[in-house]
Amino acid sequence: MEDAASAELRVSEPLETALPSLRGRDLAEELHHAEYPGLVRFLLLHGASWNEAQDAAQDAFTQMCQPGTSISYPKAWLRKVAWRSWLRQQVRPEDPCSQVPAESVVHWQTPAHAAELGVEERRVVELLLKLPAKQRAALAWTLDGFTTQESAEAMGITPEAARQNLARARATLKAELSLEGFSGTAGEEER
Amino acid sequence: MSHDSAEERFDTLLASMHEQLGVAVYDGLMGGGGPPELHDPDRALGRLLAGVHRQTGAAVGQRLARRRKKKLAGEQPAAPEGCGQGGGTMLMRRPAAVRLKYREQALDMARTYWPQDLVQILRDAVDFVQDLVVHLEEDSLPTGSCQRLTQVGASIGQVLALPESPQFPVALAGYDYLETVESDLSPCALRLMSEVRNAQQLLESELVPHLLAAEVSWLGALEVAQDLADDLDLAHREATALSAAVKAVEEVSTDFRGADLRSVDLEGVDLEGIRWDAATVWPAEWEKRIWKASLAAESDRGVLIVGTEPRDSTVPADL
Repeated sequence: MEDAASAELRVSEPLETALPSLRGRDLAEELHHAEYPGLVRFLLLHGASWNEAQDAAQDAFTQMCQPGTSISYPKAWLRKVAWRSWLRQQVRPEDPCSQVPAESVVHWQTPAHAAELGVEERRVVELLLKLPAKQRAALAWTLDGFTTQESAEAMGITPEAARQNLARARATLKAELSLEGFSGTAGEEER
Repeated sequence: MSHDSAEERFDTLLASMHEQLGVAVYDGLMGGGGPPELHDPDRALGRLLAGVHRQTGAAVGQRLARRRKKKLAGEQPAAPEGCGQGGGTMLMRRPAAVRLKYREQALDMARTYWPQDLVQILRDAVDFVQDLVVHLEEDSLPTGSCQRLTQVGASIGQVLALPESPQFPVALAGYDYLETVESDLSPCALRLMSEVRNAQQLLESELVPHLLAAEVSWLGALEVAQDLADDLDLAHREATALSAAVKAVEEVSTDFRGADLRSVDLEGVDLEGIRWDAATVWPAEWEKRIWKASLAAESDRGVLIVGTEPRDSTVPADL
């Protein structure tokens, strides 16, 4: 059965330990270059387009610079703020022209079309992006190395709900990928 | 497939997707000039307003113009970068923009790992020790052999000056191009150094003392010399492998035939030695300058090589 234990994946230790609260501006300068690509990937896995992900990632760093901001868990903070920023973009009247940069190295908007990925990996992304939003989110947090406890806190849900979303996401993906060893009964139970 | 192996396969697939997506995102960002500059909130509003104004004006016009141009020209999609160049390495699959941006550092790193012709040094050492084995089989020792052996020891010792630890700090995100370059070179260098250490140990602690003994044990010396020849031969093979890895790095840092480099900021990038052809797309403001600075390659028809200074003469029209 796709139980809570297997849903924990490989991460058993919390990704981040609490830092003494640091000034947002200092943190932003320290983390900007290293964390920006990871943040964009995180948002892409949530379903953001390439341009939306970049906008939201940049917005998160800009918010980090706000005077008076102090943060103990910067990686989780950045993901949470970037995710909210992306959600806000979804309800904003869209101006498609303002989203298209003149030249870009990538030739895709969603990773499901990224030629840089292998065939199997692209299929995984394609299926992942079809999952319900909460399941996608649970998987994106877990793939970035956060525990279900951490992702639950960030998503504002209970750890049990986070585990359930993760388990369902994994069960659906495995079924869609026709991986042998998948227990149909377990899948039924999850649903 | 058991439940456990299905779980393992699934987790591997997820991890592989996560990693490949990370590499694609990293390359996409770095190829386009890196993450956007960090902005203070005070400056963010101005940036947004300027961005909206610029993009709604210029970008729409450019996009429409580009579409019209494509329609008129019936443009075919460009072949993937690196196609038909026989690269085949993972590095060649990285976008040309990223390869060009980090070209200088990658070539510097290649030089660090290949400061001189290590294959030749080890070839000479193997030849000398094999020659010594022939003499020892006949219970003879050429004059000056011990001195020459000491020189061989010092000569192969130069290999041990190769870097043992990474030259570039590991990026937190873990997808750095230079890190990948180093991961291609470093294991070969470490294996080579390990083989050379074994050979040096054998040479200095066993063979030389055997030959300096008051009464030389020909059989003992022969066995040690044969072992040394084997060790040196292994080291020679590792040096050849390292040489191939270095050549591959040089190749991906030099071969930009058919590459789309429009999005690369070439200011400050050392372009000397780059091989390109008519299918390479340069930024418009650089194209004329690069044509002027380039010479036709002698061996490859249709290939140009960027020289040091702009030249007055023109490239033959048949290119």
